[in-house]
Amino acid sequence: MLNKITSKLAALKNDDSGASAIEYAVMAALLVVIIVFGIGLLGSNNESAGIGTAFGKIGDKLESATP
Amino acid sequence: MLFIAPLVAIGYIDWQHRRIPNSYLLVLLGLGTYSMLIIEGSSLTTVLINIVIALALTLPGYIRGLLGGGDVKLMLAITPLYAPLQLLLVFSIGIGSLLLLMAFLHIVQRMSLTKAYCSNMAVQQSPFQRGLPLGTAIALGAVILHFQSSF
Repeated sequence: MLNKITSKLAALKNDDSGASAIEYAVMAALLVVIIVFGIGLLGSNNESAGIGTAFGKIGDKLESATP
Repeated sequence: MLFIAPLVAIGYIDWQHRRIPNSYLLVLLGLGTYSMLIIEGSSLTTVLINIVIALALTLPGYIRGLLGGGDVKLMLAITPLYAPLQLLLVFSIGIGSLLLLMAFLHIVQRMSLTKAYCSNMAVQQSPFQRGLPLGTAIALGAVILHFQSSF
């Protein structure tokens, strides 16, 4: 197992090719855009968005619902 | 600002030869470590998060043979330079702008005017046939992010 990892790391060290498959790069970039957008949405301080606001509203409703 | 120069050199070499030399990566890593330890003091936790992000983005592709080893090492080399969100932005902005640039070059090469007046350019193979140079994409993303934050 350790030998396998060592040989893989040695192969990575010697591999200096810089060409990537376009499909993979596009998929990875799209995934990143979705993640960045999601982080922006969750962390937003906007009135209508933001996870903090959403949890605040839930908390308010729970408090008002208790008898 | 100092790390833009080796990134641009890496971008140019990757565009021309689809190679990312280890020596340039070492220079970049050295500058990143210097900036982390001395200039800005980016925390070790940030760097560790960035390493996880860089490996998550590139290692699956490398294992499946879709990415070059140079691309993986380049992503790892730029980890001390950015905050996690900035690293993601450099990656996505770079790939997006490089794809636009390559599509533009592809269209220009196929235009009849280019075939008539710039025969050398028209004879060259389409930029898409040689794969996407991720080093160039990352360099482009870094330059765009740098100048965007300057204004």
